[in-house]
Amino acid sequence: MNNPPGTGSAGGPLLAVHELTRRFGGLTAVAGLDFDLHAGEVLGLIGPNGAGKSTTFNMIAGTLAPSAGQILLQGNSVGGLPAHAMAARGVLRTFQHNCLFAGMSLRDNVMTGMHVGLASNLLGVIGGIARVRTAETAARARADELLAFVGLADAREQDVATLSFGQGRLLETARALAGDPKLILFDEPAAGLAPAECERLTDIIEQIAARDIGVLLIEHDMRFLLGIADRVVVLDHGERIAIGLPEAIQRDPAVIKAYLGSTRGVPAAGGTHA
Amino acid sequence: MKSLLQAALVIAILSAIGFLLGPYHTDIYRKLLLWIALALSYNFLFGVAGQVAFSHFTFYGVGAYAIVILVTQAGLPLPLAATAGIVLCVLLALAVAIPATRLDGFYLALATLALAQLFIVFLNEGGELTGGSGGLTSYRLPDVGGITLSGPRYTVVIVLLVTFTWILLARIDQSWFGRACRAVRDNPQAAAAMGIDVARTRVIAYALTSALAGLAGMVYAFVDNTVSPPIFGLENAFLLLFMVIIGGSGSQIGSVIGATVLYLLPFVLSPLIGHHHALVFGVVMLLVILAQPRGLTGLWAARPWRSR
Repeated sequence: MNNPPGTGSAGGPLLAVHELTRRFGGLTAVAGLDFDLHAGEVLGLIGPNGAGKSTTFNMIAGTLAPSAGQILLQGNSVGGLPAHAMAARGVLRTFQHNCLFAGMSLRDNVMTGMHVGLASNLLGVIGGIARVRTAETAARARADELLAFVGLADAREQDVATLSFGQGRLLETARALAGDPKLILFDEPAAGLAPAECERLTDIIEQIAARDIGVLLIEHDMRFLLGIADRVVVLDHGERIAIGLPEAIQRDPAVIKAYLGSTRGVPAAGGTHA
Repeated sequence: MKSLLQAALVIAILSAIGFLLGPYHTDIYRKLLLWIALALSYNFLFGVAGQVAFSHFTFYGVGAYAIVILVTQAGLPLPLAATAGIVLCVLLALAVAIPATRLDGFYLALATLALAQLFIVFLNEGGELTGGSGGLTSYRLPDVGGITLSGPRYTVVIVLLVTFTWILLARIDQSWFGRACRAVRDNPQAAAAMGIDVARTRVIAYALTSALAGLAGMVYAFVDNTVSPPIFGLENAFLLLFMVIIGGSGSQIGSVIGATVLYLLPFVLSPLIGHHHALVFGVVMLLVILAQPRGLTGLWAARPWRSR
């Protein structure tokens, strides 16, 4: 959609995953997974239930440490770093079940997403020095811009409790953008959304990718995913069974076989998001 | 500039009250101000950062005993003794918080309960150092820059403590650190995903508020010119928790209201119903929690007659 696969802005891939493996006791949830993702690319990660999508997602987000293998961000090994360290390196995420900060306004939620950029010496905060106050004012303006970007500008002073589920998802997107991401991870972004909200989110994700930010999404909703992804990685039983363009994935015999008997079949070729 | 003027005005008014009161009311007024200072810092720890800790009064006690011991027994000049007292509070807070915050929040409650009990044992068994169960008495505040701070002038010192505590916490609460604390309280997993180091944020919030409690304790030490173990026990730690909850946890003005209501309530009720005021206290506490979990400030925010 934006950059054809394989053409990152800085040459090498933004994210590279090599032989990534995660074992839980005797169960191998992810086994030797390989893929890469370039800046400005939307990469979809799909597979039947239990395929290892969430485990992969959590390893990249820093909430699970890999058992083996490498995660490289712009060539630097980041596997096993905790979640807050991944965020500080520009890997931001959204949650499948919205995880907003209750009792805070929309604006404060987004400003919380700017933590890494704003964090400074606490003595400066206590002293009320000018630099801290300027940064806070700029952050507020930036938060309002981001809220306008996702279409929530009018609600910026409201408490998050007033939002619908779909609006919450948009707020999570704005909050992730606030962290100045190189890579955004979306955890089933279409889950629970009405068709119109899905369309709005598709539009926003495309604009994010157009800003040269890498996007990794794991998704159950195939129509949504195939309509938005530049490339797709298909997992089954922790292994990559296919990788490629959405059109090719839909015709891949291994993919069709993996999905047979699953409640969500592969939609007909050419099926795009309505 | 505007906020500085406001602060100056508040300091002037609160200090002026100190000059108008007789000895009995001065004592009540000073202790009320100290309760407010403690409620403010405990509100940040419990209400904003969401940490259930019972050690706030312990740090109040550490500050109070430390300054007395350092001034009278070690013979340190006052500024040095005060600095050493703060450093001691921070070190003790780190020693408690670093292991405790690695575990679930429940363990902080347990660890701080243990600390509070240990501290009382230490005070009672401390021999010459702590004066045992009788505590330390017969000392006085050294002159500061040639000025004897006594009477209403010492009340001004307490007013400055409260204002300092308010301003410091308000600035922090409205900064990135305040948002980080609230985020960690509401959802540690999402906070971490925003780049917030959850354990570090908890430890800093605990150490900072404990140091403020220690500072208040140092000021308290020269109010009665006596420090003894019963004051720093768990009973007062729970009263502090109730003050923050009743006022509206997470709100600074709520802490002031909660501290004022709960500290003054016995003075109003005792002449009327004697020791039964504890019963009234319990009922009020229950009603507030059941009817309005956000306390008195929540009641105000939800007032039905408010024009929309």
